[in-house]
This record gives sequence, C-alpha cells and structure tokens, in this order.
Amino acid sequence: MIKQFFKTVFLVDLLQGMALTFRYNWTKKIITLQYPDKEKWVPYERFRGLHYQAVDEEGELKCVACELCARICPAGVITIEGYEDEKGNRRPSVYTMDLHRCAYCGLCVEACPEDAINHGAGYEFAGFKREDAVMTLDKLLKNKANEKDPEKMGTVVSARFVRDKDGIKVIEDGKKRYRWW
Amino acid sequence: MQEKVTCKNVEDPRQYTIEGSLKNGGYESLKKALSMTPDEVIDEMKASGIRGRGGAGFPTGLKWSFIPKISDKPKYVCCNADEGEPGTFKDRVIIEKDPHLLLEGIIIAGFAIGATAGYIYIRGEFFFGVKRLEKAIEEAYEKGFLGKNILGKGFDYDIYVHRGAGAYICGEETALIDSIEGKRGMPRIKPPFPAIAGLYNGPTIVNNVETLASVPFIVRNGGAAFGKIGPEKSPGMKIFNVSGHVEKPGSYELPMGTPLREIIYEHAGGIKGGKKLKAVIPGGASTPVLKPDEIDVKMDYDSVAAIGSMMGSGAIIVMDETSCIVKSILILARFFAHESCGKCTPCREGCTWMAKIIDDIEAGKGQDGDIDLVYDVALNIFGKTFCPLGDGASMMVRGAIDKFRDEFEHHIKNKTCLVAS
Amino acid sequence: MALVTLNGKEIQVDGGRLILDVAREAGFEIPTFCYHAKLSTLASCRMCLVEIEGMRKLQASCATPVMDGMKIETESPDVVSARASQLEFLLINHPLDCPVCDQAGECDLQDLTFKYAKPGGRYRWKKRTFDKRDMGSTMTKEINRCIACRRCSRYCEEVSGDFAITELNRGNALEMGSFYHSPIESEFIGNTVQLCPVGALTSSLFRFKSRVWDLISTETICPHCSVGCSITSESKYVSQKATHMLQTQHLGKTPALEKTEVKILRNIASDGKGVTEISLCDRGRYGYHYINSDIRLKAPMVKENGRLVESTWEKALSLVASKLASIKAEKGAESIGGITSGICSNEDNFIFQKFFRNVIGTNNIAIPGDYSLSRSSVLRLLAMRGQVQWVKTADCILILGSSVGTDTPIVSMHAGMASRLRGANLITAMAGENRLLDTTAQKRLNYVKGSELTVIGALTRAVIDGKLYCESFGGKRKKELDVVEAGLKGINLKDLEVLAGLAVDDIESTARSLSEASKGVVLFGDDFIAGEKSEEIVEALYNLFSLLGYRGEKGQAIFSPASGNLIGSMDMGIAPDYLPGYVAVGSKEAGKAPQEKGLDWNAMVPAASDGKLQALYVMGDDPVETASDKDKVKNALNKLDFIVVQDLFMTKTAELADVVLPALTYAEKSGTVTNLEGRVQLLDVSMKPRVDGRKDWQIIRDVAQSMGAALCFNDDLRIVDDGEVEVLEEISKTVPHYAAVTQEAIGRDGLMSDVSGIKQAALKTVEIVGHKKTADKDYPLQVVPGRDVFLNGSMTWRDEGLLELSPGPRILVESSDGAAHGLSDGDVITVETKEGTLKGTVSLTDRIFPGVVVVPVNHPELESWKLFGGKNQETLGRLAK
Repeated sequence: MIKQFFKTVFLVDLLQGMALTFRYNWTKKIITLQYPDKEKWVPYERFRGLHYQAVDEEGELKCVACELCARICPAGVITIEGYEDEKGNRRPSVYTMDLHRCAYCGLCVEACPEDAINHGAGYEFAGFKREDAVMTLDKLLKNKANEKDPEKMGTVVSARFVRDKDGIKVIEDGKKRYRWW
Repeated sequence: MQEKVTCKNVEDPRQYTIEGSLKNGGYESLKKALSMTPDEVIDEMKASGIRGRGGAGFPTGLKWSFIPKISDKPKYVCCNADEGEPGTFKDRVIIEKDPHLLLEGIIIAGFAIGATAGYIYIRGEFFFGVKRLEKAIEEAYEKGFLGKNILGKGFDYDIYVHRGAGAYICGEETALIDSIEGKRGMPRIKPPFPAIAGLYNGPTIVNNVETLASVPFIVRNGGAAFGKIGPEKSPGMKIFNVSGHVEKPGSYELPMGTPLREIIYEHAGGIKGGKKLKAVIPGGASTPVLKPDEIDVKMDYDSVAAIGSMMGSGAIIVMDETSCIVKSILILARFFAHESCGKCTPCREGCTWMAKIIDDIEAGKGQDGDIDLVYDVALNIFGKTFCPLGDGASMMVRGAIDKFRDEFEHHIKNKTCLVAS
Repeated sequence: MALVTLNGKEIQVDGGRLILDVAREAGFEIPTFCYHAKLSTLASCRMCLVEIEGMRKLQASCATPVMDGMKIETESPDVVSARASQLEFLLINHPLDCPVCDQAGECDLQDLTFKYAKPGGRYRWKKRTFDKRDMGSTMTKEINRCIACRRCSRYCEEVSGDFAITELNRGNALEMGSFYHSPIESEFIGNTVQLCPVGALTSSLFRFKSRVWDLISTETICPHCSVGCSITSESKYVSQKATHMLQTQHLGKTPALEKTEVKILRNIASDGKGVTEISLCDRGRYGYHYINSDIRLKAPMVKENGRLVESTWEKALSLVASKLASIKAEKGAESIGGITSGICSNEDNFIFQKFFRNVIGTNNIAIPGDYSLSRSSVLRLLAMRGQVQWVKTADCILILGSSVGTDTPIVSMHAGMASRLRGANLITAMAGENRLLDTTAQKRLNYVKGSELTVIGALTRAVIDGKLYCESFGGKRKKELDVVEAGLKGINLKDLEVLAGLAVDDIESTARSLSEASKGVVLFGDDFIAGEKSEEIVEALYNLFSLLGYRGEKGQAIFSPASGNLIGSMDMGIAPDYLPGYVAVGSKEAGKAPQEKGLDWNAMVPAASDGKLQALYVMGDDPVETASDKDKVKNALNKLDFIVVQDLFMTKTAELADVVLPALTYAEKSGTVTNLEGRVQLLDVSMKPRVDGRKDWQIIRDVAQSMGAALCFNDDLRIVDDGEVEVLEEISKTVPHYAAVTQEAIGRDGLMSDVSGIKQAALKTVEIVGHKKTADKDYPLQVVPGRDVFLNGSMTWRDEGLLELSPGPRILVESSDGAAHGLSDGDVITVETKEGTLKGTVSLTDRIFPGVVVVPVNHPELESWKLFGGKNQETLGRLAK
C-alpha cells in the first residue's frame, strides 16, 4: 500500500515508460512515416490500387472493349462503348470508371483477356470534386504512371507535398528510398 | 481356268469398236434380256449373288429389287465410273478396252428396273475413256441398241456420259447424284435412299462399272453359272489391281476367294527384286493395312472383313521392306484431308488434323503422345461422319498404327525413318 | 403413333417425327448447330448424335425419324464423348477472339462449349485462315469463325432464293461467301446474320456497338410496310454511365444521373410471332437509325417573322387552338382540312378523325397518295385481305405490279419460296422492276404502265370466254356475270398485243391457271391501283376475283400497300366519306358526325389554291415531298392561311408550316397497328422518348383540350399519358369489327379483325376501254416510275443505315438496252421525256423487260417527278449520255 503510494508520488510508472521511449529512440529504427511532407509509402506488389489502362509496344490501347470487366464488376463501376477504329480493331470510345462505387475487388483485372485494365500502386484518391474520382479513358491512360515496379514495391520513398490550383499532390522525388522494415 | 467375266475380250485390239464387240458376242445378252421380263432379269441377278464391286459389297440384285415398280417420276441408272480410290484401275480397263460390255450392262440394268436413261459418271481425268465411251454410245445408237424402241422391243433408253470434276467424294452414290444434277458433290441424307428418290428425285440405282459389266455374263449364262464361281457368300470373278513393289503390277481378273498370297506371288510375280514383303493394303486407300503374316487370307468380302480389314475395290497395294509406313500413311492421310468434301465436322476438321499430326511425325517433329493423339482423333472421326469417307480415313490410320506402331514411335524418338531410304 | 423409349422413359409420339423434336419436347436437351426448324435438314454438324439400340453407329437425331419400339439414349457415354469431340473439331480452327466478337453472349458455339466440351486443347498446329472479303455495307464476314453449318447458304437458297451466300471450295477450305466474292445484292441478307450461330456473319451496323447482354429487348411491330412483321427492338442506354442505368433498372431504382440517352441498336426478327418466320427484309432490320437520329425535331416550333423558331408546348398548342378556332368561326369548319399518314397507329388516326369530326366539325380528312378511293372501293378492298399464310401454301400465285416486290418484300419472298420449294405456279405481271428474279417466276408478263385496267379486263374476258368462272356464275348468278361482261365490250383479246403489250396466250393461260388452282393467291400493291382510274381498277379486280371465287376457300386476293398502317387508318375512318367502321357519312348510323362528305386529298389541293381551304393540319405526312406534282402542291400549300405539321423531322411540308410539333416514333409509343391481313398488332415502347415530343394522338388531344373540347375517355378532360388502352377501348366500342380487340387479346401474335360482318354491294359494271399503247420514234423507250426497296419514305430517307444500304438512286436500264447505248453500271445518263429531263446514275439489270427504263420516284434526291409530268404514270422517253 505504502509502496504503491511512493510509486505514484515519484512517478515511477511514468519514468519507466519514458525510459522505454527514450531507449527506443536511441536503439530501434524509426518507423514513423513522414507522409505526406517528406516521405511516401509504396505498397506491395499485390496491392490493388488506382486502375490504369495498359498500352502495347506501339503505344496503342490494349483494350478491345469486350466489356467483360463491366460485366463482372459487382458495383457497376465500368461503362464501355465500343467502336471500330481505322484498322478495323475493336476499341473503346468510352471507358469510364466511377471509382466512388469501386470496391477495388480486382475482378475486372482478373476478367480482362487482354491485360488492359490493371491495378496500379496509387492510393491517393481524394479530390475536391466528385468528377475527380470518375476515371475517363484519358485519366486511366495517365494513371499508367502508377504502374507497379516490382523493384520498388514495399518501399518508402522520399516525397514532397505540393498544393497548387489542380489540387494537392504528393510527388515522389526518388532521392531516398529504403525498405521500411 | 475359269472363264473371265468382264475382261474376257480386253485383249482383242478391236474390241472397243462395235464391230469387234459384235464379233465377240457383244449385245447378245441384251437380246436375251429383252426377251425376258424385267423381273426375270432381276431374279437372275439375285440368283447370281453378285455383290457390288465398288467397295461396299451390297448385293446388286437386292438393290435393283428395291426400285419401286410403279413410279410417277422417271427412273435412272447411274454408272459409277468415278474411279478415284488410290490404287484402283479396274474400271478404266473395261471403259477403255471394252466399253460396249459396260453399255450392254447399263442397258440391261435400265430394262430391268424400267429406267428411261442411264448416266455414266466418269472420272474427269479419263479423257481417253470418255472418248471411247462417247464413240461407243454413238455406235450403239446407230445399231439400234440405244434410243427409241431398242431391238424392236418397245424399250426406249438413252445413255449420257457425265464427266466429273475431280472429287473423290463423288464416288459416293448420293454425292455422285448431286454432281450429275449440277450441284456441289456432297453426300445427301439417307433415307430417302436413291432407290426411292435419287437422281432428279426419281428412283435410281447406282452401280459400279465392274458390277454393270458383269451383268451381260449373268444374263447370258444365268445367275447360277456366276454364283458357282468362288465362295458362296461373295461369288463371281473380280478384277484385282495389284500395284506397288511387285514384279508384274496390273489388273488380274480372278475368282473371288483367291488367296492374297497367290495373287501377289503367282499372278503378280512376287515382290520386286526378291525383297521382303512388309505390308499390303488389300482394298484401296481406306482399308486397313495387312502384315505379311496375314496374306494367306482369301480375297472375298467376308474373309477379309474377318481379319479386320476390307476387300474394298480390290486394289492391292504391295509395299516391300524398303517402304516407310509412316510416309505411306501420310500420303493417304493427305489424300483424305484433300478429298473431304467439308460437309460434316469430324471429317472436315479431323482428316486435316490427322494429316498434320502424321506430317509432324514423319518430319521428325513429333512429340510424345502424338501417336495416341492421332489415334484418338481417328476414333473421334469413326462412326460420326456423314458418309463413309471419314470412316475410311479413320480405319486406315488406326490400322497402320495398330500394326506398325513401332515405326511411328521410331519416327518420334529418333526423328528419322526406321527404313534406310 | 409410335412408342419410343427415350433415356429409359417411354413416350407415345407421332411416328415420322424427328428424334430431335421428340426429345426436346420431352425435356431432353440435344445440342445442334446446323439444325434450324425452318430450313432443310443438313445433319452436318454432328452435334445431335444419339445412340439408338440396334444401330451400329450413332445417328443424327435431326435427320432420323422415330420408329415404333426405338430405344434412344441421348446421354450415353458414347454420345457425350461424341459431342465433346465434335466441339473439339470445331474449335481447332475457330479463333479464340470471343472478346472482340459481337456474337459473344448469344453464340451457340460458346454456350455449347461451356456445356459439353472437355477442357483443354490438344491442337498445337497453325489454325486455318481465310482472306478477308468484303460482304457489302451491312455485313462483316469473319469467316475464320465459320463452323460450316451452312445455315446462311441454305437460307439464301431456300428462303430468299437469291443465292447471295454460297459455299466456296471444298473440305477444310470450305468457305461461305458470295459467288466469285462479288458484292451481295439482296434485300434479305440481314437474316443470315441472325441465323449464323457463331460470329462469322455479323452486322456492320451493330459492329462493336454493344454486347448483347447489355441490350434491352422489346417486341414490337416493324413500321416499314403493311406486312407488319414482328420484330424485337434492342436498345441500350448509351451514356457516360450506361451500366449504372442497366443495373439499377434491374433493382427497380431510378438512378439520378445527369444524362442518359437511349438508342436502338438493332432489330431482329421475332421468329414465329405474328406473320414473321425467320425473315425480315433489310429495310425493317436496319431501318431504325432514324429513331436515333439527331436531326429529329426536338421541340415545338412556331413561325415568327417568317422563320420557324423553337417554342414551348403551351405556346404552340394555344396558338394552334386559337388559330383553328378563329378560322372555324370566320370561314367555317369546311375551310379546315386534315391529312394523316398511313404509318400512324390506329389510336393516332382514331383520335385524329374524332378531333376533326367532333371538334372541328368537318369530314375533310384524307391520306395523300397516288390514289384516293371512295367508300365503295375501300369496301371492295376489305374483301381483299388475304393472309400471308396463304401465299406460303398457295399453288398458283399471280403478282400484279412491281410494288409488291419493292414495298412489301416479305410477301414477295414468300411467293418466290412457294414457287421454288413447292413448285407453285408463280406468274408476275409487272410494268417495271421485277424483284422476283426470272428464275423464280414461271411466267413473266409485261404490261404497259397505265394499262392496269386493260390487264384486268383482259383477264376477266379470258375467264368469261373460257368459262373459267365459278360454277354458280353459270347458273343462278348468271345475271351477275352479265353485269360484269357488260363492261368488257371494249376488250377483245385479239387486240391486246396492241393495247397493253400482252400476248393473248399468256393472258389465257394465266386465267386458266388461276381458275384451276386449288389454292390461288393474287397479290397487288400500290402501283397497280395508282392513278386516276384507281376506283375502276379496284372494282374490276373485285369483279375478277368474284368470278374466280377468290374470296375464301379457293383463293385469296391480297392488297399489299407500302404504308405500314394504311389498312388500319382505313378501318379508323380516315376518309372524307366514311366514319370508323366504314359507316357512310350522312347515313343513319353516323350519329353526330358531320353529315356532308368532305374533301379528299385530290380535292384539297385545288381547294387550297382557290382559297376554299384556309388551314391544313398535317399528321405525319409529307405531301410536298411525296406528291407526284410537287410544284402544284407546294404552291397550293403556300396559299393556305395556317398549316400545322406534327412529324418526326423538318420535312418539306413542315418548312411551310406555321406550327411544327415533334411527334414520337413507333419505338417510343405503344398502340395498335393493322397489317394487310387485317391483323391488329401491338406496338410496344422500346425506349423512352429521345426528344421532347408527344405521341401523335396526345398532341391532337392536347390541341382539342386547348380548344376547350374533350376527345376521349368518356368525355372526361383528365390527362392520361399512357392512355392507349382507353383509346383502344373506345375504338373497340366504335368500330364493330374491332369489337374483340383489347391489348390482352392481341398479344404478340396479333388478332384478326373480323370484317365478315361488313356487307359487300352487288357486282357492278366497270366500263373498260382498252388502253392504247403509244409509240414515238423519237422516244423509243418506256419510262416507268419505280420504287426503291430501301428508301421509300420520309423515315427511310433520314435513316443512316438504310442510306448506307441503298445503292442510291439508280435509273434501271435493261442489260441489252444498256449495251445498245454503250452503258455500264455507274454511268451517268440523262433520261429525256416530253415532259422533262433527268440526270442520274444508271444500273444495268435483267429484272426489267427490254425497252423499259425504271426511274425511282420515291427518292428525294432524284427529282424524277419532273419526268412524268406530275402524274407518276409511264411515259415515253429516250436515253442520252
């Protein structure tokens, strides 16, 4: 009882805790990510991130507008309209994903017979307008920047936070990259 | 020596003219037949027990009796002279050397079933045969054996020669009929059989050249005389075409039931250069191959069938020890792939596939399991095709693999041929 | 009867039926590719093999009839493996391009492979490929996908008879294609697309537009001719968020989306419904693009300062109402006329005539056209409502006039089929183009256009001279025969050659064939009764058919007009001299309706010119464009005080109008239409309206309401949007022969209206004077007005699909004439007649007689009406390069 009293008065528990904190501060690796100001997390390869449309070696869309992704999508995210291009190939004239509804289940990627629709590594979906989350074909092509690079997956990369008229962004500068564990 | 039936006068150099033919007793049977009733002629045919010489071996008398006596459509006789089976050249002998014998047979057949016209569907490549036939028909018209009121007996009959355009399938009776009608030569659905609705929807009989050329003999000597020759179940004389590695390849008219060994070694003079026999195809391309230990078989429909092959058209192809079975089978497989009419799925797709697989095996590109694959493909074709063409291709391939599997395996394993050639 | 055992289950069936049919009926599934109930048996795909006890091999169930005591196995191990092996064979050369194949989703090969094939493939060799070949503007051939079921070639051989697609090459190289890969010329080729079980033949117009599972199907009726084929219109929400729309629709929710747009993407035949059997003509199949068109009227328009400007419905309706009311008050009801069109539905036309008779108070209503018939003639036409089914089973068919072939291709196709497949005696008598190729017709007669009456007179004369009439006319109806004969004094068969260009033998043998037939059919279309003498022609036809007994058991006559609902609009009383149900104006039964006969279209034009007519209400017609004398009509309309047009497009007539109101297409409204048989059929809403338009009858109702009058629903003013049911109720109450008509009774097969209660007057004498064939050395050729199969009216002219399909306006010249003039296909020539000249592209054909030049009159681009002096009758002419 008295022991407990002294322990409380002299803040032993607190000091013990602080000791642990200080010990960790000096002995263990720092695991706090400085996101979004200084660092950014690159997820593992299996991560199902922002979709993108792949292109072939000649820079042509891989998508053939077969609508299998639209068919399998449990949330009705994808809208496709096909047309016949100059070469006689089937291509999408409209390919829109309304990511508000998307559950990132990955069925569309599974269903794609042409490996056209893919999950990238991107996870920054936030925007100021609803339209920001509606991915048109152009945006999906731009999203290719988020393509997964097996070398870089599961790393932390140095980044910088930018706010401009287009919104907010976290831009990787790639100066520093390390595995976090 | 048994009197020959169809090749009796082929040695006579003037036999192809009507004078030559008449000198040797041509059209005597026609005179006799026209003095009989049609039913009597059919009865003689039945009594003779003759079986169709085209390959299937269907009793001819029975076939004729299927023709309805009364029909509101004209009846026809079609002579199948589309001799396309590789290794077969028996009809050509008759057409070129003794066309009048064939004409006589067609006229008697027409009389027997009450037909108004006969069509000879002849293989397009037989230029010479066509010429001879057309000349013979012209002569027969002049002598009054064809045309109106033949021999004053009130029987009207015409014969037309129709040249094929080079399709093996047109040897199939319904495809032949389609081709005469000017359509694509593709087999028709049976029933209705041609005996009920054949050429131009009229009752039609389709008979092989050799069958029809045997008719004058049967009418002249009676069915019983023909039936006495050879085994009871498939009587008569048969032309055997021996080709391949023998000393004396050619056509031999012999009684049914002559042992295959006798045909090869006695009549055809044995294997060329005294080499060893390796394989015999007993009845044309679509019949399974026989091994040397099987050649004691008697050549008649039932005996050959009993050992798992077919008598077919009697085209005996002899292969000696220097020949590669895989290569031979490849040639035949390509033949069937090329000649498939394309109507039904298994034959159209399967024959080409088989040819492709065997091509790979032969070229040393075969893979393990290819033999089983081609065997399975052949099994999938067999019994599912529209007409017997696919069945023939299937049997041929399976027969070869059954008996010479080691050669196929050698091709796959060593990527070379077993025989040094 | 036969007792068969199917998979161990004993069933009693009719002997001689196919195993396939019996098994499917009994609930056992047998897969097929080449089998089609309406085509001949081929038995080539070998998918339907079954095992029959006692038979050495598997048998094709589509070709084997059942026999008593048969024991059939459809699921035995042999059968199952046979199916799997057939699919393997088919797939070795079939490209795996389902993702880009339009057939995916409705592909038999896909479905059956999922169901019956073994997994995995053993084929590692190169697939067989063919060169890509052009198959014309409506069809894309991906022949690598072909499984050689030959449905297309059998269709072209047996049904359409044009041999457009046939087999080329042999064996594994078997390819379906046009002969020598020549361009396809066929108005039925679209059917092969629907028949193809795989994606070998696909529609170019539907190509890549949608997946079939996204389509919403609606069964409705084709509006393009009076046959009234049952079609399935397939539409899709084409928009940025199409899929949401589809999926939420299944959930029964309406999504809140900014913009949706519905488009009809294809029409397919509803096989077995109504009059339809496999076939649609390409006009019906591809004639849906005008619905999706952006040039449709989008909002009401009102003329301000000489220009039509967009306005609102309220403004436009009140303007129409006030203007009509003031004209009626000032100049009387007789100064207002109304014209409607043969494509509007029964509801539209019923409300239209009700508005004119009850609200305006005039009988000035008509349908403009090449002929206008009085009540007595229309009643005669009632007796000429044969059934399409008859054409299929007839043993003697006479076709009068080429418009049967061009306007109602399906009827003409059935006639050709009857001739080809069953050996029916087909006789064609035409002045112009003969769409039934010469190989089909047993006999072709060529009469001089304008001598139709003489042709009928000659046939009647031949019937009387040869005593080929029904027996009763020799006996107790002798008097009636005398009545008919009295008019034929001017007809002497010997003069015929000079008169109508016909051989006596032909006429006599035709009359004999018709008389001897056990089941005869006579078909005639618009062009046969067109002209000034249409009344007499109809009457003379009626006389002829009465003599021949073509009024029921022995034979039938079929009038096949071009307009989809012309028969229905006649039933609805769109005429100046009779009310719905053919009640004569001024008779006791007419009730409250105006007692005086109104003006028909031919009378309205002069009345407009001299000021008797002040206002014209136009519903769905374009008289300025379709008239045979366009200048005259245009000048007359220009003199009118007030014109209201309700239509789909800014037509030539609409340009003259003071108020233009946007209407809706057949796809956007429900209602009923009546086909040439008198079969009342149901339109269904395939899509929500694409424009701010209203149904035709709604517009009239709204005008009436604005005028302070009620029109329907028991004189109740309530507004019901989908009030077709109520209108139909009123129709069935008013029109006696529609008494049984309700939407439920009609169903998808239609309901025959019963016209037997309408009494025909006794036979009348028709005075026939032989038509004199004129000749002119300077003008050696006969120039005949013809009609284009694909472009035959205001909707089709604005239809992208049909414009692509049609080779364009072509002047048809017979091959030998063409050779004599040194012409080849595609040359530009000038046709000169006394009345005018015309420049156009020439097409050489064997479908017309030598010495005849056919100029299409239903092409707005080709100002062919100038050639005929405003009469659309044959004239003499010559060709110049």
